[in-house]
Amino acid sequence: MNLELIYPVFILTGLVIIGVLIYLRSLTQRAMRTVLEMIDLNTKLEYDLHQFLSESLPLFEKLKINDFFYTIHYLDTTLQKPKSRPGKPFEKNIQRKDYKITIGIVPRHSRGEQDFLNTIVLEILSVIIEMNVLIKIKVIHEALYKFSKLQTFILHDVKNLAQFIGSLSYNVHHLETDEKKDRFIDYLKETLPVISRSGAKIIGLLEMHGEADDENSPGISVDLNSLLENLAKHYKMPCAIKGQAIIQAEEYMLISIFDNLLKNIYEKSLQESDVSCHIELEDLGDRTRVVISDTGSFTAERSRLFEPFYSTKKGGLGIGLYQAKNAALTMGGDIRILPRTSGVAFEVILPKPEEG
Amino acid sequence: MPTILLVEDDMALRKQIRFSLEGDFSILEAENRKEATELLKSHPIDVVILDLGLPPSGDSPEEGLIILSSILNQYSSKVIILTGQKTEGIALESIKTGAFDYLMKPISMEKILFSIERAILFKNAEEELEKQGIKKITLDVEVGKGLQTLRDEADKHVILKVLRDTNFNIYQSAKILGVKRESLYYFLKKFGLKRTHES
Repeated sequence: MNLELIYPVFILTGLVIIGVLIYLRSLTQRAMRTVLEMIDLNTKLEYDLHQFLSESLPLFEKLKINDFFYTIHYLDTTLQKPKSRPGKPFEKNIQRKDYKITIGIVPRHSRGEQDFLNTIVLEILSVIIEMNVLIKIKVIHEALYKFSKLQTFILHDVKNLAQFIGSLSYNVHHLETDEKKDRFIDYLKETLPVISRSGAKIIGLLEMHGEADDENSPGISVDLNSLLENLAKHYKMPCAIKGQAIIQAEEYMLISIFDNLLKNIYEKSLQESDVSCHIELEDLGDRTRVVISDTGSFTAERSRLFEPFYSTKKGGLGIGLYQAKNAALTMGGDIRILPRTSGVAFEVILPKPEEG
Repeated sequence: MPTILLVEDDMALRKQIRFSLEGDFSILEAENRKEATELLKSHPIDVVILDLGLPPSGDSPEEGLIILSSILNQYSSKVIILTGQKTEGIALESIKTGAFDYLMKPISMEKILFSIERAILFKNAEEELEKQGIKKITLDVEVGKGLQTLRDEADKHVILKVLRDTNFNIYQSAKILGVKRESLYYFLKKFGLKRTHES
């Protein structure tokens, strides 16, 4: 064999191989760039499944895909786009307990190297869609869970209030004697602060995340000593109060803060013996500082105590302390937990509105 | 005058219910398990009106269900649940534990009064029957498990009730049940019955 003929054949073959590799590289790069665009789009749309399905359609054109079809079923919702163009489809089915996904693409060309890329595109697309479905399910479950906790939190007081009104109405119609009338009024006098506390708690919760409106809601002058004494009395807790403070604020906001903090100590006192509470009030000029501490056990996970829907108690909703912190922040103040070796100490800082 | 214990953490509501009832009944009040337990120990109570959502777990029925179980294990008081906890599971568990009635807040005072009257009627009738030597026992059995399971469950409940009545006196219990002491020890072992602080 003439060796002189073999060299050009080798060179030609080498050139063809290089040409094919360059072609495949450019094909793959183009496809991967578009797939990355698809991933970026999904991130930009915050993993919203509906938006991704509609806004990703132009990218399929870039990938030389004529048609994209799907049937996605999750949480009693079905999203569907049937196959509308002719051609050999590439399909993928995913079936899990909470969802079922069928997606397919119809490529413009169906050659060897294109088939390989089409399979990769389909796999990546299915991962994106499955991830979005999972996020959607998780978000919905969490929202329902949180809603149900909030509902439980409010319903407990609202149902008691409704029962109170029903019983009150019954009693009003059964005041046959003067002695009964007097006793009825005595009961009402004794319990009205509790009713207004319940009302404040409900309003405080419904107004969570509200903006403080200084112009329209200057509040009233509230004697913090008296408010804290009454709350501690309500929980039948011996509470030593040091210092004096008067603050200009909406009373229901203050009740939202201090009722939740004292309730926390009261509930601890039902599970542990000899738990007492201490309150210190301090005027810092432009702010008022209140420290509420207990002598009970050390609470683990202090950093998470204000986290919404987090509770260290079995059956706890994790709303009380979150509501207290939220009310303090709305007023332009804050609550934090002071480092202590035993018990828990809450430091409440509340601003004093400027005079005049 | 029959005695009613109101176990309710909402003071305003407790006082209104108290006012509705105190003409016809002697009323005691508790707002948590500790207070309720002390009153149950120191007073003969005919009916307990029990809220399930009590501190320290006011938003769950856990505390109320513990009190319910404790009352029914130690006392003959009838328990009427008056709660805002609305799930079929909780109602079912309360009834299964032995609650006399399950009332959902808000409910009219007339219905609460009606339930109390029925509870007192039942309690009096049961006490009358007990005087005649007839004891009422309640069984929760799956019928499909057969007659042997039913018989075992009935044996267990009768033995348990007699043991409680005699303060776990084996000699007296055997005498009441008409069995030998050895047989009673056999049943104690068979059903895994042990004396606890609560019983």
